[in-house]
Amino acid sequence: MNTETSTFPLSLDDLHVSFGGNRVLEGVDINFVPGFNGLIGPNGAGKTTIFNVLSGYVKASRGAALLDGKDLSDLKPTDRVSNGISRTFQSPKLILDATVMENVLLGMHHRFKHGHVTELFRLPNHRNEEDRARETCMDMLEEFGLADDAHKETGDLSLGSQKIVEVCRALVAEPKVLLLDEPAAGLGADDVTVLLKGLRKFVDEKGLCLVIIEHDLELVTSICPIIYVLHFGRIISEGSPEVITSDPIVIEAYLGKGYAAESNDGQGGNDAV
Amino acid sequence: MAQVKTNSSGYPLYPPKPKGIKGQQKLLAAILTFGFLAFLPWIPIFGWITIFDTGTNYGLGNLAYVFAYAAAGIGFNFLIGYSGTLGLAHAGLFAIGAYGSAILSAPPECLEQTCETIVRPAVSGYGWPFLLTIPLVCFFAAIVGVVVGFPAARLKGFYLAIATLALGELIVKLISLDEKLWSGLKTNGGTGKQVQIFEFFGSGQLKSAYFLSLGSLLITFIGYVIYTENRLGRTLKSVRDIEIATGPLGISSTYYKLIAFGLSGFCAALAGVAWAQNSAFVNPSSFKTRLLVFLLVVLILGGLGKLWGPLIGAIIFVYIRQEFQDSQKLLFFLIGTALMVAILILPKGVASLPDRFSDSRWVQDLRRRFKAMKV
Amino acid sequence: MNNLLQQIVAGAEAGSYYALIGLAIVVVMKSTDVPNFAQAEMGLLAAYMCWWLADGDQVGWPFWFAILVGLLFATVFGAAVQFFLIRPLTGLSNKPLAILASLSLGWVLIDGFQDNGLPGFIDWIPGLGGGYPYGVAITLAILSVPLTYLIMTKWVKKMDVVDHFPLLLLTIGLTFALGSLIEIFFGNNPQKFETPWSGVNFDLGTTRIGWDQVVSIGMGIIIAVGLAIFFRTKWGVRMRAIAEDGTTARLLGINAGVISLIAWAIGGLVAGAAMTLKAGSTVLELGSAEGLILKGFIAAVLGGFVSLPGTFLGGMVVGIAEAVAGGQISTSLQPTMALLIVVVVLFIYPEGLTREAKLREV
Repeated sequence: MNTETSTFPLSLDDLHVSFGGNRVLEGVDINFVPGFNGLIGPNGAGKTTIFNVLSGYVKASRGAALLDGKDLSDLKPTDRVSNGISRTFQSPKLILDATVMENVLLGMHHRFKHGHVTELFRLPNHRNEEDRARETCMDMLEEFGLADDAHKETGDLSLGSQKIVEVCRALVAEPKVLLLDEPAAGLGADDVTVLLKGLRKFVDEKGLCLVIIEHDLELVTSICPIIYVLHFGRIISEGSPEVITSDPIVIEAYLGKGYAAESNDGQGGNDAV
Repeated sequence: MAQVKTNSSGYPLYPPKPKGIKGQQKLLAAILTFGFLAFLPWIPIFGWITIFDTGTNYGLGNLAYVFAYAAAGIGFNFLIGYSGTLGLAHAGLFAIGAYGSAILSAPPECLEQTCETIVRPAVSGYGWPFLLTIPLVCFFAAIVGVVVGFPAARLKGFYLAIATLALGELIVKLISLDEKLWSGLKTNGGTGKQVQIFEFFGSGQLKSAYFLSLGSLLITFIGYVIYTENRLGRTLKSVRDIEIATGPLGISSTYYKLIAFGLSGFCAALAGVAWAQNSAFVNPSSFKTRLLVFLLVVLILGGLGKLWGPLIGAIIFVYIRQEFQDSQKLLFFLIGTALMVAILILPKGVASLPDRFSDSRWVQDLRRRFKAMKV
Repeated sequence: MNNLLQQIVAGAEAGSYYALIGLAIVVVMKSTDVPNFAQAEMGLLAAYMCWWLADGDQVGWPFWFAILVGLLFATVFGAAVQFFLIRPLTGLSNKPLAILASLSLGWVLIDGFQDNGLPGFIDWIPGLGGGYPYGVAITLAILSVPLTYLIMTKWVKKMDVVDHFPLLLLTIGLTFALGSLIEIFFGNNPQKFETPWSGVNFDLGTTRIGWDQVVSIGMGIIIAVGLAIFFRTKWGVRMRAIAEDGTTARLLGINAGVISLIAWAIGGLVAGAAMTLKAGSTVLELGSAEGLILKGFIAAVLGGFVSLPGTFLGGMVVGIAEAVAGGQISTSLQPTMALLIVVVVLFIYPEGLTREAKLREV
């Protein structure tokens, strides 16, 4: 990491969010780096709220979110994806009666240069663009093992596959930052393996910065070299898996006082990344 | 034979279609239907249904109405059925087409000897070439459609419906104000105007109206098919089904709702032009809420969101209307009841019957048994 | 008539009709989540009933008794519409509708088979339309009743809870059907509804005010206040609970079905009162409801669809603005005034006038 004017792909700077009198996020400072970043915490801690600020659904009451150094609040929600930030949702937001390919194609939307008039008259430049886009999407689906399902109705796929489709959609947008909201929830072990393999490829080849909200502690600690723990809107701990699982504050808040007594060391284990 | 496009590993980019004729089913159906309809004026059939008897002027005229309503229905379908936006100003946009072309193409001076000052406002206009007025009026209606849709950004479904309903009525009211408001408008207020009928290659007024209507249906049909099968279609579906996720995808739901409004306005006006040529007379009362209800019936009975829905709905509607034209009261009762019945029983319209049939348990059972037999 | 006070009074009268229709709409909307486009038409039906019962040339009952029965009809009819037509669309059983539909169809067929003129298309279904022995025809017609019932309850899937749009369309269809029913039963001549205070005026300086105007405005206020009081009673509170949070309310034992019936009954009553007042003061005619329903919705919008005082005020504002603009600026502006108001309001302030009042009211 160069230490000049090092801009992190994504950073939260003293972020505060409140709804009415309810303070949801208080003084959140995080500098996300390329690679797998874990974001954990009990329900209601504010994790999804962070994502919602980044998507533009929610305004920060104080502080800022910076994408590659640029203040996100300067960007309209619909302009954010073209600046390199993409996300998935806790329950996949997909058009169920459209094909998998069509859903993934939505991720390419901001990359289309030719407008809808050329579309109406079926001009070659539009058709070429459409073909190129479909190639990209098909390659992506192949990467995640869904190429055979490309032209199936999305509603026919299992929940696990649907979530992977949503990840594909987010990735074809060529983001620098990808936010994943509980990507492994509801996925079987095979799906998780496929998902991680694909994500790892993007991290290694493109330096993708991933922020993963997860509840599966074992999963998070096995893939994320750095984890942030959120509790009642504040970061209570951050660091490598070993660090946070042996942090007494985290243990008490998240895992319960009894855990400290029961656990032996060896939590987190090998850096599988 | 077109080559199948694939990616580098050989996976097809487009849903694979069976080779040959079978793969072109939809296209074939469309060509056959429109071809058939194009030749109808010279094929005297349907004698057993007087209303659509192509041997008579009455029948042809009714068919022309069917096409005009279906064309308007396609635009409406695009807005409500496909993009899920509740814009109910369609009657007003239809009126813009009908009145617009009537006014613009009417001769500036009454040409008949017997014209008096009383008759003149009913026929006077700007004398522009008819064919030119069509795109003008349609684009104008598209713009008005966008303006009408402006509240779309802020209003949730049902409020938008009421707002656009009011706006549609406002448009019609403005048309009927005429001289008091703006004497250049030449709408002749509540009395209505005669429409200068345009004849194609001297084929007679009736055939001209017929082909104009059929043409407008064809154009809207083609536009609908192209857009729904391509990027605009899936973008609109995303606005309809997953609006909350559209922002992070870079899709502005407001922008696309406005596009849908504009396109529906264009279609409505095109249909209106054709309708006016068929009716030979335009009058504000023809475009009141009643028309909106008719269009809704066409849409819902035929099938919301289905390609052939508007045509089916228009056929049913014109049939009922002509069948009961002697007893207006019964007619409106039937229309109202038909709408209610449609919502209660066939929410997806007649066009969905084939789907419902094939989805029903009975047919699924049959299919399973058939497969078992094959094995 | 450039008298401002005159215009304001006329506007307040019209405004009270808009307000009452708006109130009916809001009560129904908030309790059962249905935008009832047919509210004014339902009220018109009730108004025709009142007239028919009271008018000397028709049934000729004593005035107050006729009004009572007519409004009772309005109440019951309101609940009936909910029971038969709306329920199937809220995920509840469509049995009542099936019964109603099958009986109606049976009646039509039996009537038709007795050669009362079935529609022409029956003719080309081979074998129908006459020529059947009477006994066979009647048996077939009677059999259609259980057949329709079975088809509707078995084959036609129970509807899921639908959102506003199909309900709006349903009520639009109902408006049409009701309108033509009224025409069929009562004819299409405008009628004069004689009330004890018809035609009696008094002068306030240079302004001539009719007692019928006073009655309309007064009743409008009384009914609005009455509604406000109602919502503090036991049933009213329950209705507000359903409106606020249906699931919890149901879990607390509040019977949503009964509440819906009551809500629609109230809506029917208020709308019936509004249209009857209008008929007494102006004229009873078929088109009255058409103009009113949109303005009722405007009043409801101005009240944010949630506040009763807001709705009432909204209606008054529309009525008075209309009349004053029409009188002071130009008469041709009048019909467009209300529409302009709704356009302006919805463009600028989609939430309505009284957001804060959300906490208290229905």
